[in-house]
Amino acid sequence: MDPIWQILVNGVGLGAVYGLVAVGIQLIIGVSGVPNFANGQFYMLGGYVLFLILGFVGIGYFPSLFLCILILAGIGAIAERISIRPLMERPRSAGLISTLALGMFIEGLILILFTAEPKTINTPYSGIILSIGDVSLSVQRIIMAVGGVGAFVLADFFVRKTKVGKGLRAMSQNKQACRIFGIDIFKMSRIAFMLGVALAAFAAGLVVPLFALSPFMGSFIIFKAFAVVIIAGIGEIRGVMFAALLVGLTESLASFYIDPLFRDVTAFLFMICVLLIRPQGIFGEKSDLLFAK
Amino acid sequence: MNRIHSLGHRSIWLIIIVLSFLLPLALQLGYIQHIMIMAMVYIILTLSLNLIAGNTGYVSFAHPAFYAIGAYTSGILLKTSAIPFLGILLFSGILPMAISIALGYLFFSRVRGFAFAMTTLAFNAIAGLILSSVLPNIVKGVEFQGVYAIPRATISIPPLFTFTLTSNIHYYYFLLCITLPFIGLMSRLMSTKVGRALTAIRENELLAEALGINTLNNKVLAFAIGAFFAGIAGGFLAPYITFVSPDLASAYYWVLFFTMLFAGGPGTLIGPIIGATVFSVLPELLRFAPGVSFTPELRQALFGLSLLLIIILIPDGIGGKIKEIIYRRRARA
Repeated sequence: MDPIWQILVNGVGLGAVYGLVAVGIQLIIGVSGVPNFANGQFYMLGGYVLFLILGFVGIGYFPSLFLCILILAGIGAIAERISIRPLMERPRSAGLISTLALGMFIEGLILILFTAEPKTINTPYSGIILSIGDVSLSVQRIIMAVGGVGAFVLADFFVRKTKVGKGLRAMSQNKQACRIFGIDIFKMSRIAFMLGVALAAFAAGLVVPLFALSPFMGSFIIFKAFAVVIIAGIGEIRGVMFAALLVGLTESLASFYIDPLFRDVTAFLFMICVLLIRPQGIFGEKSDLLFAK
Repeated sequence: MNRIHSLGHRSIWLIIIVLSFLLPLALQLGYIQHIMIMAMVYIILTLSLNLIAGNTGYVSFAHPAFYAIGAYTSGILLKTSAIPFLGILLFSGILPMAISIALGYLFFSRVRGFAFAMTTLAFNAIAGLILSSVLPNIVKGVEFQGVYAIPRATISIPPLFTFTLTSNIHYYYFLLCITLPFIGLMSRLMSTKVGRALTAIRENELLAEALGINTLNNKVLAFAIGAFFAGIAGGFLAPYITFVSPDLASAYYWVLFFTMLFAGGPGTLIGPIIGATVFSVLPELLRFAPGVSFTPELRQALFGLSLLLIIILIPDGIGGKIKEIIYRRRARA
């Protein structure tokens, strides 16, 4: 396969993962004002839960993935109750620190239970290679691309068209008005958190069969996902998707054409440029959600 | 009111100062002295972070980078130049300060709050990359793993005396001579016009602006003073440990500083001191806990859990709680 195709496919894959983790972050910032720094660790936890389900429950890959998402959404509901809700009325830095602490705790726990050694997950689909012309891809990679885009479209539809989704969007515009109109803001915060964690777990479920499973994969991805949120701004989910793909592509292009070392800071340089030129983000509607302390 | 309040505290501070002078003499163990030195390094770091993150309310992830830049500056200059150590130490504070002023004017004028925190996060990542991958190619004496074999510090006032700091106890008293005035400075600063301006920015930035406070200059000032002392802490570390690694700018350190600051009580003076002391002594004590092997993984899980619980259960940290208890007792009396 041509290197440029390889780079593009990798870039889109990376972008999809950043995007799915970033959508959760964007939803939660919008609804409860808390920047969820633990979302990366939920992504990692999703990978380990899937690893356990595939290892101990004899059901196929797709049912396992579904079960994994449900379990993570449940964990997300508990985590929201413990680490987000008590802090909704406090300065944002409190939520920032509490979710960082939660992430640290989850990562430490996984390190104790599974050690730092990377694990591999094999699905029936990772072995099958499809060849179209001179482009060959494993079926798992196709599942990842289709699943990633599908999850984006579904989340976008959910937020824009359903009643609950409209409630979520209303929350990010005016919390006070939501209270007056009888929207349960705690319930909305819980739903946003569960949705965010579920999307992160889904991303992990798609990616982990392709790469190794490591306790550090959460902290590796979380800051880039935040950079994606800042680049996109707080607003439509489609903005995040676009920014994530942009970051994923520039990252894989930069690491090939400039220097692999450059890869880890591309997203940050990108973010700094956006903040200097358009501080509310490329698609951001208003800046006070990002600028609150 | 404030004056009386600080008078009551004076005796406590006096006890702390006397104890800090006598304790290492009583405990003649190198290991314990090492823990106490590191506790002081973390006190400087946490208190200087407190200025921007606690007093001004702007969370900054850039502190480990300033710490590492200070340590690298000091390590490289000690190895390759003949500048006296006190000059090197000063310079290892000035360089991060200059960087922080440039960053401050660039970002504070455009972004606020959480977005600022993200720019400092980006800066920290980029600085870490430069230290670990770019610097070794440019500067002689810097390896990819860090700066090795840094010579011990020599303090000399030419006609009077020359003295090389070799043992832990030397470094302990040297650092104490920095830490105590630093704590005094921080306590004074908060009761000056600048300190009150910072508090005003934390409580309501728009209102502070409306009252004619130059928020930009004050924020940059807080950021710069913090960076200066973080650099000094790094500059001290280099000849003490005799080895500096790019890990100093890693995520581990800002997590550690945040734990110390937010568990101790951001925005107070005693809080960060308590937080830094507790979280540098506690892990060492736990090492001797029977039946448990205190691995780094367990340490991470425990740090995370304790920080989470403290943030939720005691919002103002240990320092804030102590303040509250003292006030309540005074109100009853």
